[in-house]
Amino acid sequence: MSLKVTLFGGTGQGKTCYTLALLYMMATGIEGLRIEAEDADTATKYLNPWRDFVIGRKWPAPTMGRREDVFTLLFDDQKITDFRWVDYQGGAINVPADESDEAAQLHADIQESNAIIIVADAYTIAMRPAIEAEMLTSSTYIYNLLNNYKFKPNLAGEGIGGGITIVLVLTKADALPEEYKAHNYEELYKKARQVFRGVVDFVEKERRKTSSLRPWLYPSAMLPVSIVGDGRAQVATEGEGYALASFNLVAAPEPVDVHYPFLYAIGNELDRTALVLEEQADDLEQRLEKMSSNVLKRILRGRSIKELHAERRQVAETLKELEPQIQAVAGVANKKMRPLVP
Amino acid sequence: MMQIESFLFTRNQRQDFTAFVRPAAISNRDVSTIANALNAINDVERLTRAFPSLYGFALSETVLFFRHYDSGRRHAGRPISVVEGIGARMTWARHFARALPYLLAHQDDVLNIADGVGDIETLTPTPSPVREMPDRSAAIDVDDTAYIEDFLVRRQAERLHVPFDRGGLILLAGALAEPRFASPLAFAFGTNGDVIAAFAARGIDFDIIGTFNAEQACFRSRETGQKTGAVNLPVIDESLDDTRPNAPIRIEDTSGVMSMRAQPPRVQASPAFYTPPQIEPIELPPSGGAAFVPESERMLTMREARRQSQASSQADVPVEPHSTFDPFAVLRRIVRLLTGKRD
Repeated sequence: MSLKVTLFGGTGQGKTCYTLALLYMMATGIEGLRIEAEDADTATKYLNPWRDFVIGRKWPAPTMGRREDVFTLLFDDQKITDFRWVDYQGGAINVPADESDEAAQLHADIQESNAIIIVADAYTIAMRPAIEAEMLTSSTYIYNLLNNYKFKPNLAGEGIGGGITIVLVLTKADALPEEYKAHNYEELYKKARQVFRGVVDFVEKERRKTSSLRPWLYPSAMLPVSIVGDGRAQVATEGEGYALASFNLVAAPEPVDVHYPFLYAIGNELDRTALVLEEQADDLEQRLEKMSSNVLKRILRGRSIKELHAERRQVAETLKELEPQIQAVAGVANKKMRPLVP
Repeated sequence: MMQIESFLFTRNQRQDFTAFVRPAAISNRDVSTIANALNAINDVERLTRAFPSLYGFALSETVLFFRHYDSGRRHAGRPISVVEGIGARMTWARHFARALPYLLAHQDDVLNIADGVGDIETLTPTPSPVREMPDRSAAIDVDDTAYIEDFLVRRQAERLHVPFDRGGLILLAGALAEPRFASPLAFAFGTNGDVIAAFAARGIDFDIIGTFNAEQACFRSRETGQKTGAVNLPVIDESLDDTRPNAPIRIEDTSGVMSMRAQPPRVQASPAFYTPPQIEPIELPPSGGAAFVPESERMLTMREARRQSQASSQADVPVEPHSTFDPFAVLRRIVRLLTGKRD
């Protein structure tokens, strides 16, 4: 099994830092969960800029292109799943596909992704007027892409079984004024929902009973995270116009909560696999019941029944294997993440 | 006269990395190739305009010569790099290759595109105008030309690796000035293995590579990367004022001969890339982060949400009102009638 997770968001929102911190944290493992790159060089490629960040106290240079790497997620050294991690330059969102190769690839990646992680700067969301925060986080552009490639096709019945896990990572949460941190970030969540209302509204509508889609197909959640930890970065310049606020690192970074959004994305996509298997099992059950009810058919189709039983057994075994993995990955993350739709 | 076009790839506050100026034959995919490869340079601040990374190779229908360095501008506190240079159609490849030593010596002028486009913050993408450049050539006076003779023989199977300093630059310039190479040399000077690998994925194979970590010049097998021969670094001229390893690229041009002997050698150890800021100790509050929520409030997985939804749908099914018909009561009544008993 291989999943594709695409990380994107506006320029300067913290995608690269988030990726570096996540891969650093998960390289040695958290709570038995660990990420392994497909080869040693790939890991080095991510660890080097993280080392430069920690020791040199300098933010990584802005991403200029697209980066895709393959990793394996392990639990107690047992493989859970392979996943493809795709990271983008923020500007790929705001450019028409015919003007940039990255933009064209981003469109394709979104279509192919099992899960997407949207990275947005919590400080911008909190401190700038909502309409400016929308533009600076590119939330409207993000909704536009998701709507075109994931929401609309499903509503039109083209990908009815599809769905996607949506995770909103609110970076730079350490720099937030206290009122946004109070009551477990209640104010921040409120403003983030306003800024990302396009996505929030879609998920909300889709969950209504009148929706043509099955309401559980779009698991979506958010979480504030910090790459540096509370009090370890200070605002150097406040943002104005196109310029975002800048920060100075004043102490060694200690990432906070960076792994939960990732585990939520992977855990829910594993759960989607289990969901499909459960539906297969239900279907097999129904077919068996129908066959069993007719004695003559049962005699005539004994072989088919045997095959169905074998298939059902196999599905059940796969589900049994999957269950502890889902528990390991999603169990903790789902207790930390907060719903996109309250 | 050779026809050249300009290339400028950078970002401003408003627009992310974009080819603001590019030769007509350079496609989006070509721009992406350069961007993805140079994205592997983590520490762009080590690359200055005076001593930038230098790349020369053919991409699609264009031969390019460009530099990569830190512009000094910042976005959200991060350094913004600039990739700028010139390109010529493949039909000019020979002229272009002959001019490279001259262009290299005058890189600060000929590759300087950013200064000619006006206010970078208001820039929008435009196609490059075609300019005419007189044919240039230059001889490079290198003390020891043995490595060039060697490279002429080895090139097919080996690459020349040089350090990213003035010694390495002299070796690069010397090789570029050699007219006997059967085809123009492709080079990446001031780079790392990830950049080289990314370009290789697009079929760009360099002949001369100057990596940040290289301390000695040598030949390496193209196939295995193993060292196959040593190369002496140029002689030191102590009379030079500026003997820093990354002193500005400036080469004296006397009577058409560029003297590159007057370059200092690479000094031991790479420059200090980082000068950690002086930090006042501060009182750190306890590490923050969002709180875990009680089990009853945790996010549901898809299957849990489906089960909950199905359970709620079943609960919503209108329950038929209780029937007043009680078969036992009727039965009791019949028995009473038959036995003649009364309540």
